[in-house]
Amino acid sequence: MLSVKFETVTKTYGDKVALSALDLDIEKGSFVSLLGPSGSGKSTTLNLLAGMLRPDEGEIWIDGNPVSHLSPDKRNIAMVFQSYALYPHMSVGENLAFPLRARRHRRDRQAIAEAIGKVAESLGLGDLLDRFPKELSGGQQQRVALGRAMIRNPKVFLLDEPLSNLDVRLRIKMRRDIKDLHDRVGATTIYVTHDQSEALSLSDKVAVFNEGRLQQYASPLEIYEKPVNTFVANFVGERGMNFIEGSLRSRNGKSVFSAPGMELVIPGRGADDAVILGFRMEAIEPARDDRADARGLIKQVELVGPDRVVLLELEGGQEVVCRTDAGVILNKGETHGFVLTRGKLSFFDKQSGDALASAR
Amino acid sequence: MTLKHLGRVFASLVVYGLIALAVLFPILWGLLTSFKPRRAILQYPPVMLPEEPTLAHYQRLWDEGVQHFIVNSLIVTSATLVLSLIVGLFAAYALARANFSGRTVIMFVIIAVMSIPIASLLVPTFTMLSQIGLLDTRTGLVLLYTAYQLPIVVWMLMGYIQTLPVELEHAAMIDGHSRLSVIVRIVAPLSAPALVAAGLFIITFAWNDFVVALVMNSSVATRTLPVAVYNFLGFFGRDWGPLLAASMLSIVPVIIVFIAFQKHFVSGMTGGSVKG
Ligand SMILES: Nc1ncnc2c1ncn2[C@@H]1O[C@H](COP(=O)(O)OP(=O)(O)O)[C@@H](O)[C@H]1O
Ligand SMILES: [Mg+2]
Repeated sequence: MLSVKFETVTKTYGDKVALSALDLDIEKGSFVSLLGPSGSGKSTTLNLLAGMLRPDEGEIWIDGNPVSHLSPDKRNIAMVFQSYALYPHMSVGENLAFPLRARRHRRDRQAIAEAIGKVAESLGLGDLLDRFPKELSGGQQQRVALGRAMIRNPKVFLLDEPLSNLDVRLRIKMRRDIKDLHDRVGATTIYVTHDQSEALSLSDKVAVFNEGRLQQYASPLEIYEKPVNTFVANFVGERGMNFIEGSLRSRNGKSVFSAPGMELVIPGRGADDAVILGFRMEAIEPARDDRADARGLIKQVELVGPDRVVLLELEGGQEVVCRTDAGVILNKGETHGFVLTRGKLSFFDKQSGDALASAR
Repeated sequence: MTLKHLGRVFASLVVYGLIALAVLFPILWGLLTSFKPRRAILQYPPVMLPEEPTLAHYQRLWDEGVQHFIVNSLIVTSATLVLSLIVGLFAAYALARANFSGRTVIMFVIIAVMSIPIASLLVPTFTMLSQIGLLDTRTGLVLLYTAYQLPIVVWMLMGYIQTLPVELEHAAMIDGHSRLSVIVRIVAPLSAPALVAAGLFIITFAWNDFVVALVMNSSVATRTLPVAVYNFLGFFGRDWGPLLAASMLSIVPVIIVFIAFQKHFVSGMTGGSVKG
């Protein structure tokens, strides 16, 4: 169990900045996700840590020791690749044994056989040891890749979008298996994904990336509830956040947010001419009486499990998604009043997209 | 399958068959004739199949010590094969994967060298070999053959290695293997088709070479098979039997190797279209 630390690490390809001055502190034994859209620098971050890339600037520390000068074989890190990177000319058993045949981790035959047996059992690979990778299904290949990474009990475990090539059901099962594995072994785990639900459900902490920059590094709950900018707000959450542009004014110690067709009195937030109000789909619900914050035309109703996801057009023309339970009947084409949950509102500066400091 | 399609398949079979026959006929005739007794060889009208097959001509060659030249050729060819493939693999790997200054220059030089005819290199290489005292040695031949073959070998292997997924090498290094171990355990086995293809090039050249061996080696002790065959021409005079038998000894092994590795050879030549 080792800690990992990035200190102003920068990596460029020509004049393209793949990763810009990354500072990231990963506690030993924790499970951290790197979340971001494709091309945001997640793999670059992992490859820098694994040693496939050298940083242009900055230093990477593992357990307090600088490692930038070490080649990948000397870092005692294990990694699962998105493509699985199984050795096609070796059987499953040989693939699993491969790390133990390296000079650094060399074990005798007996020990290798035991290690393979243990890993094969815990991942259900026992019957597949003599097969070759191309004879396996995607899920089986994935488990072999996982097993090969586990077999030498690494102190740091890297996974680069390990589930993205699996079908949904298998993905959810493997997600649980990976979490179990972490709970059992306790190795520091860094998990790259572009799937926000994976990141939120698995991690102790999530690092959100965009265009080579770390946007926010916090617990899943904080990322979800207090995004630092509109990018994080929109990228995280099943449907992203609802945004409404407007302005904030002070009135009697309170603030008033106004937007076309909408006036919202909220606890003091100061004043600002150009802001964006952000709220998640569960922070808006149909009004039960005639005190509504806004009225909206129901354009679409979608059944999601026991809930309904409703697409509204507010009077000001803004489109908003709302999630309700089945308690209130909403029909397409009707107009209904809606209220916003005051404690679940975020405000962003319209220009920069950064969250405004909370009043409290 | 339509009739038209069938017709086209048939037509191409006929055409390829004719080409193959034209190329193979002299060899086949030579092979069959090498088993005919002396008086049947120049018989008129000629007969294709030997009526009373005999190994007499081969026996004669054996008595003249042909096995000695075969051994020389085997030694020189296999040493060239091993040396060229090892040096070629490492060079090709470096050119395919490493980013170093001068890489473009080296690639250019490789292509340039490939297009120099060997005949024009005979005199300078003769001088070089004599200066380092390797004239008239098998080692000298091995070094020259390797030098002549390396550009094409490096070129073929480099093209193939570039089609291998680099992630496999990354994975192996993260698994704790050094660069050397990765080349030996991952890159080399995955490059097998290209190694076979390059190996066939090397074998064909080294086994068949006549000019270089004739110029560099003068003593009987270091003589290779093609030169020996040529010398038999003077020795046996117009005695076609032993001459044909000797020619067959120098031709047939390469053909057998080609047939044995034909499948790999094709996939090695088509490089990227084959997944590792
Ligand atoms: N070998 C490379 N050469 C040039 N640009 C690259 C290379 N690898 C990655 N990049 C660029 O760096 C950026 C970050 O890439 P990456 O870390 O792979 O993103 P992610 O894993 O988040 O999808 C991308 O814009 C990508 O195009
Ligand atoms: Mg990636």
